[in-house]
Formats: sequence, structure tokens, C-alpha cells
Amino acid sequence: MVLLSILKKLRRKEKEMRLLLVGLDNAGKSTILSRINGEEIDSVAPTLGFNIKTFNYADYVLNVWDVGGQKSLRSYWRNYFEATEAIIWVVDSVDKMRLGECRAELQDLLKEERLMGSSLLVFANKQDIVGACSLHEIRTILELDSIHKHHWTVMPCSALTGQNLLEGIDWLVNDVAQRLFDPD
Amino acid sequence: MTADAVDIYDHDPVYFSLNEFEQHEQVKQLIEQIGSIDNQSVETVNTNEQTDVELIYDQFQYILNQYQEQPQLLDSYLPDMILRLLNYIEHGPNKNHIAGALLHQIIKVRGFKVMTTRFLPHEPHHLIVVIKLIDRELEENSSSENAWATLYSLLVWLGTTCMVPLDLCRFDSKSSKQTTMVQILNIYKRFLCNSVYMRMVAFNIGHFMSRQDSIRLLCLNDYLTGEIFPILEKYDDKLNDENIILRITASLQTVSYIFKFGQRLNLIAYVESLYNVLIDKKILNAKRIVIRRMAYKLLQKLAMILLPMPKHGAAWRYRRGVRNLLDSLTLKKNTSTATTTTTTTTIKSSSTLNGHKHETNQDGENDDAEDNSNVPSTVESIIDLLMAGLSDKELYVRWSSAKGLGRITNRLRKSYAAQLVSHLCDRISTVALLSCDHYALQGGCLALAELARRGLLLPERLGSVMPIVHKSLNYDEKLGHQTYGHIVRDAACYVCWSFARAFDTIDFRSYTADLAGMLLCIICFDWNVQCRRAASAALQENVGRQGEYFPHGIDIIQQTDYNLIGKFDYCFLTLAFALIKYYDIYGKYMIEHLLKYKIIHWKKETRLLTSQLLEKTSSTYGTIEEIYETILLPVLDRCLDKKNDGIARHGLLASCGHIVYGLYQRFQKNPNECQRLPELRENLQNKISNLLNEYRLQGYLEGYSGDLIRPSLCSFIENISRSIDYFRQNKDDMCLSNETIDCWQTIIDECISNLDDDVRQVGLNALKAFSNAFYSNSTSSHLIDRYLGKISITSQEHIRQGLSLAVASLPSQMLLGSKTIDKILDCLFKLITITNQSQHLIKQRKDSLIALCDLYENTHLHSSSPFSNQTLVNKLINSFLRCTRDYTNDRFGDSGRLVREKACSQIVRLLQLINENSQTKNFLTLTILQNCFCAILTNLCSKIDDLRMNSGESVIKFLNIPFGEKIEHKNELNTIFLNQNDIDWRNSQIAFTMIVQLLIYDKYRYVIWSNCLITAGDLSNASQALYTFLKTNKSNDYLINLLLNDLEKIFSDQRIQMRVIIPSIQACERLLSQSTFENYYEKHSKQLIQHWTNIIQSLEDILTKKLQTLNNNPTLYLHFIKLYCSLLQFNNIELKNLVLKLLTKFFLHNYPWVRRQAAQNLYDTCILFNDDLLLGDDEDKSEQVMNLLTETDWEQNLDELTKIRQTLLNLFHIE
Repeated sequence: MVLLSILKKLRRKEKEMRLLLVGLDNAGKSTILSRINGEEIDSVAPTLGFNIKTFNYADYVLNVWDVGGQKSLRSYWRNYFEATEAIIWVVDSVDKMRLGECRAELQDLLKEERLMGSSLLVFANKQDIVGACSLHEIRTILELDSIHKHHWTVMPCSALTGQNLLEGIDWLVNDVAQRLFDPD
Repeated sequence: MTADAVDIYDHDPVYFSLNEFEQHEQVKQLIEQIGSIDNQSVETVNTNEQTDVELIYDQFQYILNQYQEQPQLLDSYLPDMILRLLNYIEHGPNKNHIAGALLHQIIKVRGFKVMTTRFLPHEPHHLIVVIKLIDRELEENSSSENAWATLYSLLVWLGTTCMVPLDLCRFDSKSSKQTTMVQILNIYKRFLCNSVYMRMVAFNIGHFMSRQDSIRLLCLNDYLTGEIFPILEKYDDKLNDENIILRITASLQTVSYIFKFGQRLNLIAYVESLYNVLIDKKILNAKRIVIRRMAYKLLQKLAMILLPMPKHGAAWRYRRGVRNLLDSLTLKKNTSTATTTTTTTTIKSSSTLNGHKHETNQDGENDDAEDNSNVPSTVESIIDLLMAGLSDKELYVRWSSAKGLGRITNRLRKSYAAQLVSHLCDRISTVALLSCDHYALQGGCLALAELARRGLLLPERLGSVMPIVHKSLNYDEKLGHQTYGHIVRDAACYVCWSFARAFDTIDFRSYTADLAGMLLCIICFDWNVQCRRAASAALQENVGRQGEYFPHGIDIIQQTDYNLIGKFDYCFLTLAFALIKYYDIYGKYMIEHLLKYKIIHWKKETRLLTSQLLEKTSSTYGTIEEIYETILLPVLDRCLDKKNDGIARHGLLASCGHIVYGLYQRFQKNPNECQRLPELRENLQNKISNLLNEYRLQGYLEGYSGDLIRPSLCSFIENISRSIDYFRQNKDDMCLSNETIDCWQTIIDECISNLDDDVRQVGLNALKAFSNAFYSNSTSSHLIDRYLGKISITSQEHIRQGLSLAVASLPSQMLLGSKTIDKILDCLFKLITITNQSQHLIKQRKDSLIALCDLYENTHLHSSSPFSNQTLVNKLINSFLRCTRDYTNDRFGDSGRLVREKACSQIVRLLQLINENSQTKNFLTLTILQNCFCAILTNLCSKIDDLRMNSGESVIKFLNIPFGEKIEHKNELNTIFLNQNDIDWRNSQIAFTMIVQLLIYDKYRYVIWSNCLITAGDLSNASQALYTFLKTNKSNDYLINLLLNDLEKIFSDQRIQMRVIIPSIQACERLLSQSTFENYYEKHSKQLIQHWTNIIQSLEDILTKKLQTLNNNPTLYLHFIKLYCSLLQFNNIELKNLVLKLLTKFFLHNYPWVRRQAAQNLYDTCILFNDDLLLGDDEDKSEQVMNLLTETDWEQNLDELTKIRQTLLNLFHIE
């Protein structure tokens, strides 16, 4: 029972998964995290460091990583005893100007070897605002249909109203769980 | 054990690499193939059928094994696969066992526990089906090698079907005498004591006994009291009956499962008696590990049956601000209409975020209500026993005990649990730490981690726990020649990891910084790679969870990557150096740690790396005053501490030298950095001057501990000597007293004549720096005379080795000024001369070659150098050339290769030096260069990989030197050898393909041809390269003719040695057998026959001349016989007659073995070339020849054999 073998065993037994919350700045990542956490969302400021929040959902323990702009954390995404099982990519549906940049960043991210095999949930955020892009538009501009190496889905949501947040995470957790854990 | 030893984690750093069960179609087909296996061949062994079955099994196993780590990927395909397999098992015949084997494979990958509870069909009627199938298998008693797997699978299925909620009596049939329940139990009992089935059957019985009807019908009671207790009662540690021991193991395992699955209230009645058996019979102290493990497992289960489990674990449990995602989102949704309520909810939940205490306080009110029940005394005793189990010698017992304590604590009331934790802490800090019991320490750490992980270690305890964690993280005691400290440190890392997860940043922040420093020290300085990695995992967890209070956390974890920290020197010299330099907050801590622990660490590698790191640190870190006052001076003082042992002195001394050298480098960069430098330096100079004199007085230089510190003494002297300008005020300042210099000289003298190669080397390094610092202006011949005198009188080879290198490394002023250079040269030349007496002195020659080269390098640029004389230079080169031909063979085999290797590399070094000196450049005539190059080429053709590599590198260096004269075919040589980087000379296939290309150049042909032949006899890659070359040039008659001429020359050489003869003959035979000369023979048959006739004559000559050697090892004759036989392929009457005459001469040889070999080989050849050999003869004669060759008794007397030989010759028409 060396530490590294304990960790490996624990992880399977305790049904933990790691979710990476990413997206361009101002997409609403920290707001989503605060909303899920049941916190006040008025005071959310740009994330400088990073946040890890742990939740229980169904039988699972979710560690959600909101890493802001910290590219330097990449080495964290996968190591010898833990991997990132799921990515939540948050899109600012209102900021049409930056959807191109958003696509490039997302494709770049998915090339990352450390994220191989992880499930992808795209949240089209800020749907509560009038003039937000439709789901179809986002799906086309982000070229989501060209993604074959990850299980993925896209959902409209609003961090402000809480719309679809639960449904999205529910999809994600189930998708990962099928791959990773004994449903027992 | 080296720090970088490959450990089990290395091969697979990333888990969960698969995404789905990709081969499901293939697996389906494999299962279908079972259907096509022939029904009839049940017992008849049909080899084809057998391989079909094996093929299916092997492929199935190969595919499934890939999913051992992620078996859940199979899940959606399992029901279908299982149904098909069960169908084959049910409806056999002849297919049931292969199906059973596949099913067992699935069970193995998916695990029997999961398989019992899911996947297998469990309609009520299946119960009877399984029982019948098992009966069928038992009756059939099949001899199939997979029968056991079929039974295993069926038993797992029985476990599933037994979960049927109906009362078992409903399945009872009137025809059967037994009830179904008894029937099932009998099946289980039958297999329980077979170690193949034991765990699974025990698991099934555990479930079976939790059935309502088992309890109601007293089946459980009967089993426990009637079977388990009596067996356990039989236990005795002196028991030797393996059968009973197996039954005891099985019983313990079964009871464990019964207690795991059973209802608390049904079992509570048996706890007392089971506990008593465990204690009375001393089962917990069993010597057998299996039994002890099982006993401890059972023990903790007993306690858990006694204590009721609170609904969500202990109410007082510490909970980090973890919340349920569903709650916060649904709550939000429901209230989203009413804004006011939302705000209040949010406030409430955010107040609990930081305030776990709220939770505890609220629940604390209920504490008393829950705590009414007292802890039974048995539980108290069990806790004591588990505490003792934490110190067990067996890891699994410690681990079980730790988990058990965690589980039990979860059921205790707060005050009692607090006692338990403080008891645990006491135990660790008094018992374990004081007595250095590493098992107890590791067990204690495991327990702490388990408690923390479950939230049972409350933050107020941290104050007393953290010191223990610190001590454990730093625990590195040696026990005799072994060390177990690493298991303690690893477990302590587990504690750190679990603390990072368990505690809220607010509760933990005051400990984070200290912990970080400690973990970094392990990551950087621990010799054990497992600990470094464990610490890095703990560090990551801390940075991730406690990030805000972890200075520079993110920057640091990038440098402590799993793979990076696999290399020990990276950790010390790169990682640690960067951390010390850039993060002052850790730097101080780490330097302190180094000075306190690592500088005197028991592992030599650690001590040496410490000294190097301190050198790097002193040249950049902090201020000079700091270095002096906190690092250097304390270390210097400790060098003289009488409490130290040799190991400590070794580390301290080495570090002192390195730190001073580091300071000197710093001084060179910036001489005016420190105002107080002169004062500090003078103090330092005094201390250094006295240090080794003091060592001598104290007797530290003698005995075993003297041996230990010897390398360190040299490194100290070397470093101080290198830094002598640091202390020097003017050029002639000696800095050190004469007494000190004498003392250092004596130490060096002892080291350079030491038996140990490494010690001599460090001694030589020290001498070089030392003599440069103190003798560079001396012209005294005293030292040289002393060394030379010792060389001439000593009988020890290693002393001559060390001293010859020592003389050559002295400052040139001293060598030339003292007029001793001629004496030195004479001495060194004598050392490399090969005579009968000195033949075996391989190492001496090897080192003297280097010494000569060193001497040349050291002096040749001076006006008074003797090397400006061409005769001497020629003599030098010639003696090197002689050494490239050192074929000394002793009991270690070809020992001369070491000398040849050095001669090749040193001759190139020498040539380069001569060429660089404009005065001597023209000494290098074309003949000299050509000879040197050929000498290297000779060694390049060697079959010894190392030698070939060394010579190959020498060839490249040679070709790159811009000599005045150009050796022949220089340009072509450049094209062959210089056009590619990093030639893999060790790879004979690559090397020889390049080498044989030189055969077309007249100048190199003979060298390459003769040496390649020697190698080709032993190495097939070499002969293949030769063959391919000859094949490509088959139409170049001129070249082939030359090569054949050379071949004649090789064998006719009067001085030819056995090491050349035998492999060359072998090589010729190989080339002939591949019809290499066919093309040439067609055009120039006469010449070819003439060549071979000449060669045969030389061989006959050799046979007479080397008769003695050959008779000592008669197997060598075989090579001659084979070569002769292969010459029979040429359809030429003269050659044939000659060869047959000679071959048949072997029939009369003194040794019957040789006669037999000759007959055997001639027989083989006759079969091969029948048509040519016995041309025009009738069948009859040919048969006569064959009969004579095979049926003659070769042991009979020579007269008879002479007649037989004559008959044979007649039959071949030879007079």
C-alpha cells in the first residue's frame, strides 16, 4: 500500500471525477461555478488564481476546476493518478465577435494530449439576454460536428437563471460514469 | 538499490486510457466459433481441434486482458456474451469447457463480486438449473484442463441464483432426500477448502447466511457453532497439518464475509465467542501471514457489529464545505421567483461555507442523546488490539488495522473518539518514534490518514498531530544494512495528501507553509524515487486544495512533474537549486534541512550531491556573510566534532571544499561584493590550514573510517587547491603552512597508490590541482625521484598504475626544470614494453599509455621539451603501435583488448597533439600516418563490440585531424565514415557493411580482408557483409584474384597464430558454402584451383607445425575437415584427388573422434555432390562408398583402417 497505489484504488472506489471549467474570459465560468455552489453571484470578479469546488452529485464527487486563464496549469490536467474526465466549455452567446476566437481556442484545447478521452459539454451561456446566438448558430460556428474524438453535447444555459445547468452536468456525469465506474 | 531504479509505476503513468469496448464484434465471433467445434471428438485427441479451442481461448484472453483496468467498458455487452456462453455450458457436450473457460476469463476481468450481483441470469428456475449442472459436472469428472473453470463459473452463478428472495423450501423436490438448502450448502462446503475457489465460495456463503430462511432455519447458527467454531478451536501455532490450516483460513474468510453481509442483530450473539476464540487460541499472533491477515480483518468486523452505525456517520464529523449540487440547483430553481427567499438561502449557505463549526455545534447538541450507549468492553479491547496491529510486521495487517480504526471511530461518540485519537498520537510519538519502530510509525501514519479522510480528525487536533507528521516525513533511519524509512515517509505523504483534502483552507492555513517546505525537501532530496513521487502527489493535492496559502504553488508543481523527479541529480542540482534561488521562503528551510540531515546522510550519493548543490548555492545565494556564518563556518566546525563518525566526516569535508570553491567562483565574478571579506577569509584560511593536521592527530585518517573519508579528503584538497587564488595576496604567498602541505602530500600519496581504482582517480585529480597550486614554480626533483623509485621497487601493479599517471600530471616546470624527464620516459617506456614477464600486466600498460600521452601534452610546448626530437617521437609512436597489437590472452580471455582499446584512442590523441605543434608537425610522415591508421583499422574489424566502438570513434577523430600529409584515399574514406553522425559501431551489421567497402582500395585491402576473415569466423554479420561485398563485385575478376592472393599470403605467413588460423578457416568455409566464387570459377577455373591448392599446402604445413596445439584441442581438426569437404564442390579432378587424399588421411588419425568426424563430413558431402564426386560410376560403387563411410568401426586398429582407406581411394579412382 504505497501512496500512489492507495490513490489509484481510492479513486475508483470513491467515484471521484475531475471537471475542467474552461472558456474565453468573461464567458461566465466563475458565475456558473458560484451558481452551482449556491453562492452570491453579484460579486464575481475576473478569476486570477483558480478555484476548486467539490460537490456531491448522485453518488459522485465532482471536483470542478475553474482555472481562469491559467495556461500554466496544463500539467495539472492529467497526471499519473488523476486525469481530467470532463471539460465544460463555456461560450458567451452574446459576444458574436469572439466566436471565431472561441472556436480556435476550443480546437486547440481538444488537441491537448492530457485531455484525451474526456467528455465535453459546451454551455452556450447567457441565453437569458436578448440577441444571444441560437444553439444552432453556435454549433455551426464552433464546428462542433467535426469533433469525433470526444463524447460531446451542446446545451443552451444561463448562469443567471440557472437554466439547464443541472441538465448539462447530469449529462456529463452520466457520460463519464459509464466510462469510469461500476454503476453498482 | 539505486535511487533511479525502475519501479512498478514507471511503465504506465496514465490510467483509464481506453474509451470503449472496441473488439466486441470480434469477441462475439469467437464465441460463435465454439458452436462449430465438432461434437464427436470428445475424447479422441484430434490435434487440429485442440488448436482451434486454444486459438479461441488465447484470442479471447488477449482481448479481455486489455480491459482489466477498466472492466466497466464491457458492461453493456456482457449479458449477451454470458447468455451465449451459458447456453454452451448447459447444452454441451464438448463445448461446455471451452465456454466455461471463457466465462471464467470474463469473471476474472470483471471480478467475481460484481459478477455475482449483476449480469448472470437469476430467474427462480435458474437455481435448479445451476444445481443440476454442477451435479452433472461433478459426476462427469471430466479430464478437460478447463473443467475447473467451468465449475468456477457455475459456482459464481449459483451465488447469483441464491439471491432469489423466495424461500428455498419451495424448490425442494419430493424425489430428493435433501432439502435444497442443504444441497447448496454441501456444494459450497465441498469447494470451500480448495484454494482456487476459496475466496469466491466464502463470499457466496457470506451472502447465503444472510438469507432470512438461513437464519430462521438455524442454518447460520448450525454452521457457525457446528463447523466454524470447532475448526477455529483446533488452531495452534505449532500446527503443521496443511489440510487443517487450509480449513482454518477458509473458515476465517467465510466468517469475515458472513459478518460483512449479515444483519447486525442476527450476528451480535456470536461476537463474544468468536472474539474469545481469536484471543484464546492466539490466532491474532499467528506466524502465518494469511491467517493473521484474516484474523485482523475479522476482528474489526466484530467491533462494527457491536457498535450501531449512526445514520450518516458520526454526527460530530468534520465536514469540509462540500454541498450537494442537486440541492443548490433545485433549491435555486424553486425559489427563483421569490427573490427575497433566495437571498436568505444564499446567505445561510454561505455562512456555513466557512463555518463547519456551525454544523458541529448544531449536531453537538444531539451528542448526548446518541451517546447514551456505552462502549462495550470488547470494543475497547478490540481497539487496543487494532492499535497493536498497526505495528505488525505485515503491511496488510497494518493497513487493515488502520482502516478498521477509521471505521470504528466513525461509530464512536465524540469524547471517546477524542481519547482514541490522543491515544494514537501518544503511541506514535512515544512508542514508535522513540524506539525507531518503522512498522509502528507507518501503521500510525496510515491510521491518521484514514481518520482524516473520513473527517474524524478534528482541526483542533492538528496542533498535536502535525509535529508527528513532520517527524515521520523526515524519518530516515538505517537498520543494519537495510533501511525501512521510506515506507514511513511514504505513509506520511499519504497523511499530507489526506489533510489537503480533508481540511478547509481556513483551518489548515497555519500549517501549509511548513508542510510545503517539508514536502519540497522530500521531492528534492529523498534518495527513494517512490517517496519523491508520493511527496509530489501530496504537494499537488495541497497546491490544488490549499492553493491560496501555498506560496508559489503553481510555479513549483510544474517543476515537480512525475517524470522529471525520476532523476535524482535533476532533483538535487536543477530543481532544488532553482527553488533555493528563487523562493527565499523555501530556500532557508531547504538549506537548513541539507545542513542538518543530508550533508551527513548515510547514502554516499546523497552526501556528494549535497556538496555539489552547496557549491552552486554558495556561488549565488544570499550574501557572502550569510554563506560564511550560516553555512561554511558551522560546517567547518562540525568537521572536527568528535561525535561524528566516518560517514559524517566524509560528507562534511566534501561539502567544505565545494563551498569554498563556490565562494571562489563568486569572488572571481565580483571581487568587491563583500566589505568584510579579508577578515572572513583570514579566519577561514586558518581553519582550513589546521583541519587535516588535526585529522591526522586525532587518528581520523586511519582504519576503516579513514578509508571512508579518503575520497572526500582528496576532493577537499582538490577544491581548496583550485581556489588557492582566493587566499593569495601575492604570487609567492604559500597561504598554507609547510606542515599542512606535507600533510596533504602524504594523504595524496596514500590515495594514488590505493588498490581501489576510484580512490586512485580522485587522488590523481587532487594531485593535479594541488601540484599546480603549490609546486608550479618548483624545480625540485625530490618528488619525481621518490615516485620513480617507488615504481621501480614495488611489486604491486596498482601502485605502478597510480604513480605513473601521477608523475605525468605534475606541472611542466617541475618535470622539465628538474632534469628528470629522461628518467621518467625510460620508466614509462619500460612499463609499456611487452616481455614474457610483463605480458600479464594489462592495467599497467593501459595506464602507462595514458601517462605517456599526458606527459607529452604537459611538456611538448616548452622549449626544453625532449619531444622536439624526431627520434623520440618516432619511438613513442612505435611503442603505441606495438600496443595496438597486444593480443594477450589470460584466464580472463582476450585481456589485451583493454590495451588495444587505449592504444587506439591515445595514439589519435598523441597524433593530434603532435600535429598541433608547428615544430613537430612535420615529424608525421605519410608512412607513420598510414601505419597508425591501419593499426586502428585492424581493431575496427574486431568482433568485440566495445573495442569496435572505441576504434570507430578513433577513426573518425583521425580523419578529422588536418594532417599535413594526406593518407591514401582520404576523400573516399571521408565519404564512407564522415558522412553520417553517430554511427552505431556496436551494431556489427551496420559497422561491417561500412568496413568492407575499404576492400577495393589496395592500401587497406589486406588489413581489412585478413581481419574481417578472423571476425567472420565468429560473427555471422561480418561474414554476411563479406559475402554481400563479394557477390556485388563478382565480375571484378581482378579484385577477386587479389583477394585470393591475399588469402594465400595469410595462410603462408610463417608467424601465423592460432587465433588467426581457426576463425579464418571457418570464414573460408562459410564463404565457400555460399558459392561465393562460382562466377570466378566459371571463367578462371585454373587460377582458382591453383589458389586453393596453394592454400591447402599451407594448411598441411600448419597441421604439422601446430600438431601439439591441435592435439590439445582435437575439436579444432573439425574446421580443417569442413573446409576440405567444402572444396569438393569444384568439379576438378586434381583438386578433388588432392582433397580426398588429405581427407582420408584423417581416417588414420590418432583420435577416433577425428576419424569419425572426417567420415561423417565426407558422407554428408557425398550426398550433396553425389553426381560430381562419383561421376560415371554405377549405383553399386556409390553405395559401397556410402556403406564404408557409415558402417566402418573407426575404433579398430590402424592396419585395418589403412586398408579401408585404400579401398575408398580406389573406389574414387585415386592411385
